[in-house]
Amino acid sequence: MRLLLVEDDEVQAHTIKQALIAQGYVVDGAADGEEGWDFIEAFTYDLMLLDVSLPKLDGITLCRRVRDRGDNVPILLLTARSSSTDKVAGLDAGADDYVVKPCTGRELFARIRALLRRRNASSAPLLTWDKVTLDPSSRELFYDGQPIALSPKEYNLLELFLRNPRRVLTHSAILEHLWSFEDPPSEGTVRAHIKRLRHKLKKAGVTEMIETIYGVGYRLKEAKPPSPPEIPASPPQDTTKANLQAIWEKFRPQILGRLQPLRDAIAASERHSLSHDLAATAANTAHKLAGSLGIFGLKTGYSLAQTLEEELKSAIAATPENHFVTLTPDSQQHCQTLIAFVEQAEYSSISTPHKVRESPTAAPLTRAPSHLLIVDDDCTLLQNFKTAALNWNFTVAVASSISTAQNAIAQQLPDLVLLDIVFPDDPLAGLNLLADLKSRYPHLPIVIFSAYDRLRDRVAACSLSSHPHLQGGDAFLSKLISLPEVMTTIAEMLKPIPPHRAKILVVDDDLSSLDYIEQLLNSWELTPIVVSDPRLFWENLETHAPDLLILDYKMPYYDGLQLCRIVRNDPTWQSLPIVFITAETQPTLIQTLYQNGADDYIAKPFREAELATRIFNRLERVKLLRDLADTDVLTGLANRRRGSRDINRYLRLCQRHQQLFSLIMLDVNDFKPINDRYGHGVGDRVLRQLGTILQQQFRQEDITARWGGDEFVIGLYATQKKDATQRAQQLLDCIKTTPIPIAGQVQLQLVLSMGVATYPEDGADLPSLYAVADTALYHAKATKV
Amino acid sequence: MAKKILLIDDEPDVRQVLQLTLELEHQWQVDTAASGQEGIQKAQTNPPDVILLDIMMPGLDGVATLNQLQTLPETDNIPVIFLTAKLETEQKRYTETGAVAVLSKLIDPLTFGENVIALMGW
Repeated sequence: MRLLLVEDDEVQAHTIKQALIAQGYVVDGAADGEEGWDFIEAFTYDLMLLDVSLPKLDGITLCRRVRDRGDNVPILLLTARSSSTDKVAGLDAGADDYVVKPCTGRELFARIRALLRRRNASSAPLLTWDKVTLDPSSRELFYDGQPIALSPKEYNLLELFLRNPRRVLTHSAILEHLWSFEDPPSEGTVRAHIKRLRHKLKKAGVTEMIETIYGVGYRLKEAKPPSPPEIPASPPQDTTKANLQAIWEKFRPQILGRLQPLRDAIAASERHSLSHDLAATAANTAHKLAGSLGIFGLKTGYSLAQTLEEELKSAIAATPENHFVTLTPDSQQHCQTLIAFVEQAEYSSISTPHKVRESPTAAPLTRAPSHLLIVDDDCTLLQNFKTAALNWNFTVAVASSISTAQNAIAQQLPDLVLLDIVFPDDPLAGLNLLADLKSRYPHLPIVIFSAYDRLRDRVAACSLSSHPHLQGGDAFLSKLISLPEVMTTIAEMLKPIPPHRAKILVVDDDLSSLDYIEQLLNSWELTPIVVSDPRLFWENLETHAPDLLILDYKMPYYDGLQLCRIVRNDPTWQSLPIVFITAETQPTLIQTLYQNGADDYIAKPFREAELATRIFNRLERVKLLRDLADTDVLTGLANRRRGSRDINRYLRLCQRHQQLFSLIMLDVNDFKPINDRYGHGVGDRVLRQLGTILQQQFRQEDITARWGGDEFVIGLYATQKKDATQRAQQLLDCIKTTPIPIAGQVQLQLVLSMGVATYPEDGADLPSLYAVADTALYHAKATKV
Repeated sequence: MAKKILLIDDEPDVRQVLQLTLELEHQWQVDTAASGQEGIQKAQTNPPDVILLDIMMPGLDGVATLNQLQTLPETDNIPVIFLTAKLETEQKRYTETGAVAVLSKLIDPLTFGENVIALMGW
């Protein structure tokens, strides 16, 4: 560990330096701010200790400079004054902590250790591509062990590609990620940076790392497999597929836009007012859809659109000029089905041609279909749901009245209920059913579906403190949103919760500011959810369940204060941390913010470091960082504590939903000799590589944890033993074909052993499943030898 | 010599998909036109080896475009393949217009070029 100490008082500097050296740290000392800056520019430190009052350049300015160049090194301020302005200024400038002098050595060491721990916990695992390794924690790039020097922008650009390995990044996506809204460059700038980056990479011996995707943007090429002789070069079709995928994405909005004339035609036909003109437009639209779907090989959609075109044309031909055209029920059905198809269609470069990926982001096929109950009196809507649900691997029961709904629930308890709370003949019936369900089945997810503007209801409900049952719904969807969105929300709700990454909901009507914050949050590995229209606030709050809320104070429709108040008035959300952004900072306003439940505020315009301090302080306070730090530092996987917690949660879910759960246990055969022979550095690299492969091979909702040493545990929700064994076998095969390069030309061929145990047949809790898997693993090893 | 293809279709997504797949999979030179009119001009100034022609277009439709091409000395020998999203039963009507073939727009973009190769005997 290398530390920098900038302290002008010779005696104190000497004392602290000696104490740190005695603790085993390497320490560089500087006596003034400028000298300190020279050191900072020349070397990389694991931590910096900066005195606040320094000659030439004070500690706070120095700290700000460090943060301004994007350096996240932990900074500990030393201050002789215990005045709080100093501390606040220091924290705002991006310092992580401060110590008031004179301090005991013990306090200082404790703070240093805490900061170094925090840094390790948040440091990301290495990103690799072929022989290129990028270390996000030190922002260093290596090719075959040799460092490559990049400018900060080039580095960021490369990191962006490595973090999005299979994605085509458009110019605008790159701009969005890498430039602040204050200095938006042109597309030419991106091209110039790409060119320079490619040039530098090429000079270092890395060729063809970033490929240009015709007319769209750039993408990280697939890394060459480590053993080139056996595997032929990737066929040209791969590039074509990727390009086709990009074209599909590009034209998708246009294709979706074409559905409108079809919807209009159905609606008009139902009202018996379908004009010749509109019918002809619909026919023409159907024809164009056929063409667009056909060239992507989407056969079902192509045939549906063709049929519809012909039907519309014959309906037109059969109707006298000044009469309205009538669509047969069949045609209407075809039209509905086509709309549903197009809304969900995907061109997937993985799928075989002539096939639609039937379930875009739906649950994997191994999972039993989830059963939904939809309670609504709108028959068209029910029909649409039935059609769409098939594609999502949901089974659906529908009820058009409260009593049929109660019968349906009595017969089969659904996994989720979608409930329209407004029944015209009895306004309270929906609410009563909701209250009834909530009391009888507290764990049953209920999505409330309404044509009414939820937030207005919410605000009204809040100020009148009226109907308490509304709080029983688990999500609220407006009927205005599209069917796929509804399906996505449902699928999300039914999916077991993936490992945690803090979610921040930002509400700000100023788009540039919103973009900027989103960018910052992304760069801190947080998940931003941005909302520019405060009227959409509540839906987003309930759908995403953020860990922290950032509110702009001044907004149209509802200001931040009103939103803050309704959050504080809701039992589910009342403890959600809220940080305000405000351009006005009169004491009375700030006081009002705090009085209404704000946790913190930040004045506009703000600085990156300031926002980071506020957010992380807040998250830390709600113990979230502890969750985030549940990561195994070496491999980036969950550690044992987090792994067991997640597995236990999945087991509870499985019990509730009568699902299977499989546990795979893995270890490396003869791992100890690797450590003995090549040293622990190589051993660590092997484990890290294994961690990367595990992350690639398993899905985000799967639990992948390093249990300790060379032992890994994988938890698969709703997966039977046969499937788990198969997936484990795939992993073993993958390891077999992926030798791990160690020094020079030497490659290590790993052999893994595995054992599988499944809930409930092998046990009902983690310890018994673990024991069964362990025995199976032991047997596997014994028989292999 | 790489084959030269002229693709005439009013739909931008169709143009992009076919241009891309033919260029990448077969290294052909693909030029595109968004209307019959534009297509005829391009065919005159830079005659391709084959024209892929959409039947249903606003303005000059596929059949009218083909008729014009057949009257112009620079283009009357260029083979034309019709593309259409029409039903197969409808497609037969267009085979008597002098086109080499009528291809359905339901294609596998990755292997579409092979149909052209087969039709042209390349």
